[in-house]
Formats: sequence, structure tokens, C-alpha cells
Amino acid sequence: MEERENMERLVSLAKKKDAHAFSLLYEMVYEDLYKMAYYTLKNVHDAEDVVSDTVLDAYAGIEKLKDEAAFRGWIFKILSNKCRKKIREYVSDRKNLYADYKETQLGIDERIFEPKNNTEDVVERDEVEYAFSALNEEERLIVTMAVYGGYDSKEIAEILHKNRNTVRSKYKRSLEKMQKRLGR
Amino acid sequence: MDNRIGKNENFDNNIEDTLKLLRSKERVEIPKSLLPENIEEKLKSVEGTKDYRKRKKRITSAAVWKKGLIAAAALLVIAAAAVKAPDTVKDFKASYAINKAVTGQGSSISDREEAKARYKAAYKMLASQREESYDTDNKTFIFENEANEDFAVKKSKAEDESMSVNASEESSDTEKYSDTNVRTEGVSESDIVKTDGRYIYEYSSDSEHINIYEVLENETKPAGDINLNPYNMYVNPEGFYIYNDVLVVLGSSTSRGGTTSKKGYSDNEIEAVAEGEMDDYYEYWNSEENGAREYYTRALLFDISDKENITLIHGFFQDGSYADSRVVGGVLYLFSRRGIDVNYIDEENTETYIPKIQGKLLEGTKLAVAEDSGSNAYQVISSISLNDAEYIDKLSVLGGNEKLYVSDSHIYLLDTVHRRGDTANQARYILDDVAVNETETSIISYSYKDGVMKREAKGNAAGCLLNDYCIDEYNGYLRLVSTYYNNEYERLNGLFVLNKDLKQVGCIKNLARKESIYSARFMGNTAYFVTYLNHDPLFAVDLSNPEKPKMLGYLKIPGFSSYLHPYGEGLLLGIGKETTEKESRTIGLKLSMFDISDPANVKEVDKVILKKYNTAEALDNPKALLVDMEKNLIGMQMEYNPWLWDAEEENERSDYVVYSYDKNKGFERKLTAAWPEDEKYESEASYEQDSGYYYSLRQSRGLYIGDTLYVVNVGKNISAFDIASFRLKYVTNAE
Repeated sequence: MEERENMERLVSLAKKKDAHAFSLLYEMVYEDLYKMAYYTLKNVHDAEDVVSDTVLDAYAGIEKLKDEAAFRGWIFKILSNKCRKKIREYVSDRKNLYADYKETQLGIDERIFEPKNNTEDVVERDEVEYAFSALNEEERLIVTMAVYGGYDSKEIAEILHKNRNTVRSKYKRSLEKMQKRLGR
Repeated sequence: MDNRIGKNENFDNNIEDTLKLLRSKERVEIPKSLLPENIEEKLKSVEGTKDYRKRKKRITSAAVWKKGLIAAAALLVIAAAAVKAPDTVKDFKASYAINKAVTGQGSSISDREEAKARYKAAYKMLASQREESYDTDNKTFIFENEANEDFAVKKSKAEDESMSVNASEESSDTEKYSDTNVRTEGVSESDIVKTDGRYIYEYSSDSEHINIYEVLENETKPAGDINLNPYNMYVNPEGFYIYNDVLVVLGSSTSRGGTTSKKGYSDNEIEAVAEGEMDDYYEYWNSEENGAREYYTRALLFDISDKENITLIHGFFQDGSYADSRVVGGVLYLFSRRGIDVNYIDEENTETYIPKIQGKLLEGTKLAVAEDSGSNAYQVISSISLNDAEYIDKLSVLGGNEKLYVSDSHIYLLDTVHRRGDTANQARYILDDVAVNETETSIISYSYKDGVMKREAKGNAAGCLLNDYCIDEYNGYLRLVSTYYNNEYERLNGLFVLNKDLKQVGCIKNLARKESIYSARFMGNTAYFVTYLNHDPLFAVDLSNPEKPKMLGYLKIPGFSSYLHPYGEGLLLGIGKETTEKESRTIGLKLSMFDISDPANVKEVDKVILKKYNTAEALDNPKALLVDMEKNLIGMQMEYNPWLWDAEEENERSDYVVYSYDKNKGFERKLTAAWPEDEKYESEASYEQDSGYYYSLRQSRGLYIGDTLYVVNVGKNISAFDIASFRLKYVTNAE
């Protein structure tokens, strides 16, 4: 309860462009924000970009956030959509390289998934990244939205415009794939 | 960390274990630039640049400002004021604590010393913010003094009043046409679509062009355009101004050779900079060096007398990112906000902490320092003659402001101030015996006339204001409604009346516990405002005796109005939403008509709930609204946004809808013009809609010229309808 009230208070202050209050709110979520971006996009530079864009948008738009206690969900929604947009860019870059593909809803071809989808060579620094590399972008986004964004399958389905059950099964399958990579 | 992973999901333990394992093995390193302290620094020196959802109001009744602007007498007026000045200053010294060391005793301080002292005060306030705690209590306000009257007043060259573009009623050549719905009559505000009765102008952010169409009987014909891409600026998404044959575009740019690393611009460079390319606005965020880039607010004046050969007359720029602007009597008032990174200031180098206008440092005597604000940002204000394309006045206030209210004679800078640290409980502003905790609005007023601005008064009010409709100047009093918190951190609302010196003389407090103000409208001696949490009381207050405001009554209805507009004798139009009692879920957009003939018994005489729509730009931006009682038109773009938290449908929708109001029949829908769906609409910015601030690629405006209503879907098409029958006359598609 206290945490919720504290958050409401900080949001009220942030609405008046109190940068310090906003940074306190940011502090509560920034690690997960970055993790979500990084594990989804697998690119440090893009992840950094996407998070700073999210912060910019959130700081500018926060006065319209009516439900102050929903700050976390709200800022993660902005981030999720920015990640989605970024993924679309990756996909369209890839489309230019590959002649034949089958389009899925997000335009991501399940047939062609690349553990490393970027031109940069990503050195897999931790096991988690290695685990994520078993998934394609769409799957990574779903998992990070659940794990870092804290959304359930209904919310993820709404944000991604997908069927709820599809989301649930993809989520489950993804975690199984990751589990294999994590060993044990 | 909030572990909502798979809440309400029934996954097996395997999954749970995997997740636990996952989290325990994370070794990710967060980039330095994203650490909270660095983010805070970045935000402090960046103003909310995408915050373009501001409110502005209808302009120009030629009659109103015609009286005030008699060019020949301007000098006399100012001279008279100059003679009067000493009395006013004496009064100020009596009411406000003034730092004697700065303003000195009497009027024997020379301008030079005054200037130096102001620079010093600015430096001092900025430098002290390097430390953790900046005590804003016991601080004073250092303002420009009567030195004002000594600078040369640039009188604008003869203005032919009858040539004013907004005197459409007077001219026999052009028919009557609608103008932007602005806050103060006679004070223009920018918009994305404008008309002068012969042409329709639109700003399309997609193409970064201003498109001009000539309005003819059977079509609107493309007549010319302005390509804004070469200027490499973040064009003001709120739009532009038309003044006679001048089109004014506003925006922001950055420049790598900023003031912190360079000794400003030479005279030769200024021209090039003012009219040139500058740097990409968004590159700022990718820059690693703090202070390496500076923001500039730019005003470009284009000559549109020959639509096929539009030329740039002159470019103006000033430090800081664009905050706001107004055009009154052929003068552009330009407001920008320059944040200072206090870690990079150097007392010896004034370039690092004093703002510049057109590349030149602001003179000290034009600088005011609001020490009690603890701010690190300057408001940079300039006035530019649109007839002569030159500066009239320049000034700056070191003290943030987030909102602006411009009446027909005054500019009010509004800033929300928080008490910090120990002083939190000793709020400067006391409401009777209840100290208001933490939040106050600081108000600084400037009178303006023909571009000349003079600081008048400074005062405080409790709480914070929603928008510039919540404050109103009338008969020498300033009335406002605000939301504030008391010592127990309870949210309350109040109405306050301040006198010319911005001292409170009357109030009604402790209203609508837990709710906040959603809309307000001051109409002469009566104030109406709406507060809301689950339902919406519409309050009516009698202000005929400003020192004793009287609550007349209130009407409780579901939903809320976010905008109120007078609609003829005894009627008040409300535009907002209908919501459910319990969760405040949107049921639909709502138009309400209130009978206010007896303010003590306000009645809702009709309402329409439009379930097909759940949002409209007009809810937050009254400029997007077309309201005309004479032609009986209430028009706005209405949309269904499936991304809103309480949206239940999946399909997007966007229509321009027009209603009329009849005393007997109530609201009558006259027109529904759908946004053309010739291609799949990619919800590029849908998340931004969801996050609350409205950024739609689909923007529409309605306007009328004579007996034809034009629905302008920016960048898409223009449809013409006959106002009497609403029959479609034609549609012109954008190329």
C-alpha cells in the first residue's frame, strides 16, 4: 500500500516536470527496462536507444497518465511497442535479403530465425543471453514482456494483437527451449 | 521487484523453476547513460519537447484589439507609464522582500552595475544547485527594475488596422470565415490548419511541408507549398501562424557549436545560422558529451504574397527549446526554455550561464532571477514585429515555468514550485490556518503592448493549474482554480482570487476531496469548473464580489467534461467522456449542454453519448474544436483507439463529426465524415495514444468560409460541405 501511495506521489510530482521525482520512478524500473530491451533486441546500442526514447516519451507524456499507480505497466507498454517497432525494422531489413518467406502476423518468419539477428557480432556474455538465443524475436518479446514487464498472457495478447492462447503456448514453448539451453 | 510473472497462469512448476534460474543468471551491464542519475541530469536540461498538447483559445475579434493598438499613441502610453513607474516600484518594495544588495537603494544604481549584479545573481543560483540541497525558503525574487523604461522602444511601422487578416467581418471582399479556437480573444495561437478566407493552409508532419490550397467554388486547388525539410528542425507540431502575407513557422534545432564550447556567433554567422540548416534535433540524445549541443528555438518568417514563389523573409532564433508563442497585433511573442547544466558553468564565461537571443547575450537589465524557484532553467522571451521582421523586446527569467496564460494585456508565467527538504512544511503560502504542503504555483506577470513587455507583479497560489483555462484575468483581478494537497497529503481543490499585485484577496477552499480539476471556464462574474474522480461535479461560483467568492451550487453527473464552452444565452457546452461509476471505464465520448441561466441551479438539458468513439484530440486540445454559435456548428474529429486501457473493441475508427444544438430538439448530428481508408492504417503511433499523450498521424480540422464547411484531413484530403444542408460539394485529394 505504501509503495503504491509513494508511486502515486512521485507520479504527481513528475507530472509537474519534477525531473528528480521522475528519476526515482525510473530507478524502480530501469534495470528491468534495459533487460527487456537487451534480451529482446540482442543489441546494446539499440537497447540503449530504445530505452532512452522510452524515457523521453514517458517524461513528456506523463501528465496524461491518469492512473498514477499504473506507472510501471504504462512505461513498459511504451517500451514493448518500441521494441516491436525495432523488430519490424530488423525484419524488413531481412526481407530485403531473403527472397522467399512466409509472413506471420508480425511479419517474422518462423522458418528463418537467427539467434543473432544483427550485423554486430554479439558476444554472449551471460547464460541468459544464450538461453534467449534459442528463440526468435517474437518469442523473445513475449518472454521479456512477461518476465520483465510483468504482464500476463491476456495483456501481452492485447498489446501484440494476438490470440491469448497463442501467446500462452508460445510462452510455454519458449521457456522450454530456454530451459534446455540453461542446462540442468 | 514485482514478480508478476505468470500471475493467474497455471503453468507447471517447471516453468517457475526456469524463470527463477533465468533471473539468477542475469549478468547484464546497464549502460552508463541509462543510470538514474544520468537520466535525471538529461531530463533536467531537456524540456518536455513532445509536450505539444497544450490548450489555446479562439482569437481575433478585430474590435477588441483595435481599440488597444493605436500605433501613434503607443509612445505616449509608454512615456506615461514610465512617469508612473516609481510609484509602482515603491509598492513592490513594500510588498515583497527584495534583495537590497542587488537592486540597491532608490534609483541611483547605474544600468551597468545592475546588469552585472543580475548576472551574478543568476550564476549564484545556478552554482548553488550543484550541492544536494538548495534551500528555496528565504529566497527572494530579483526582477528587472524601472531600467525598463530607458531602452529604446521600437515602434512598429504604421499598421493599417483594416488590413488585419482577422477583420473578416469588416472586409467586403472575403466572406466570413472561422478561426482557431483560442483562449483569449484577440490573442492568436498556432495551429496545424489555418485559413484566411481565400486559402487553406495545412502543416503536414509526415511530409514536413506546409501545403497551401486556393479555395474555389468547385475545388480547392493546390496553390503552393513550403518545404521545411532543409531547415532540419523539429517543426512545432502545434502548427504555424498566418498574419497578412506572412506565414510564421516555429520549431527547434540543435547546434553542435553550442554556446558552452564556442564564444557565440559572430555577426556574419548569425544570418547563416538563423536561416540555415542547424543540426538534427534528435541527435542530442545520442551525444555523449554533455553540453556539447544546444537547443535553439527558431521562428521563420515566410512571404506568401506570391503563393508560387514563397521566400524566406528572415529567420530568428533564441536559446532553449520551444515552449510557446502568441501573435497579437502583428507581434510574435516567442517563449523558449533553456535548461542549464549546472556542472558546466564557469563564472568567468558568461556564455555558459546567460541565455542568448539571436546569438547575442541577453543584457543583464533584461534578466530576472527568481531565487525562490530553485530552478536551473531560463524562460527566454522575445517579441518580434511581423511587419518589419525585427526584434522589439527581449527578456529572460531564471525560474522555470511550465505554463503560460496570456490575456489581452498581460503575460502570466506559471510555475509549479515544490518546497524542498525541511522547508516542506513551511509553505510560503498559507491558506487560513492550514499550511499547504509542498505544491504552489508561482505567478509572474508581465504587461505587454506592441511588443514591449514590462514586469508587473509576482505572487503565489496554492496547488497547481491544469491548463490556461483554469486562470482568468477580469476587471483587474486574477481568478484561478487549482488542485492542491494539504498536510495529510489529501488532494483538494480551490478557487482563488488575486488582485493586481497578485496577492490573494478571496478564496473558496477544501473542495472535492480526492478529486482533481478536469476543466474550467470563467465567464465574466461566474466561474464553472469540473472536478472528477468517478463522477463529475460541475461547480458554479459567483465572482461578482471578487473578494468574497460564493459557491452557488454544483451538479453531479457521471463522466466528466474536459472542456467547457459558452454556447449562447444561458447555455454552456461541455465536451468530455461518459464513464462507469466504479472503475471510470470509458463508455463513450460525450457532448453535454448545460442550462446556466440560473447558475445556482445548473441543469444538464441534453447530452449525447457516442459509444463508437473513446477519444478525441479536442478533449485535450481545444484548438482542434470548431465551435460557432452563429452557424450552430460543433465539430471535431472523434476516434476509437483500441489501445486505450479501457477499450473493448479492436477496430480503429476516425471520423470528423459535426453536431448542432436546437433549444427544443437538443443535439442533432449533422455530419459524419470518415477518414479515408484507402490503405491499411498502420498504427505507428498507437502506443503513444495509449500512453496518454495524443500523437495521431490522422489529424483533422473543420473550418468554414462563407456558407461552406471544409473538413481538412491533414495530408489526405479536403471535403467541402454546404452548411445549410450538409450536402457534400466535392472532395479534393492531396497529391
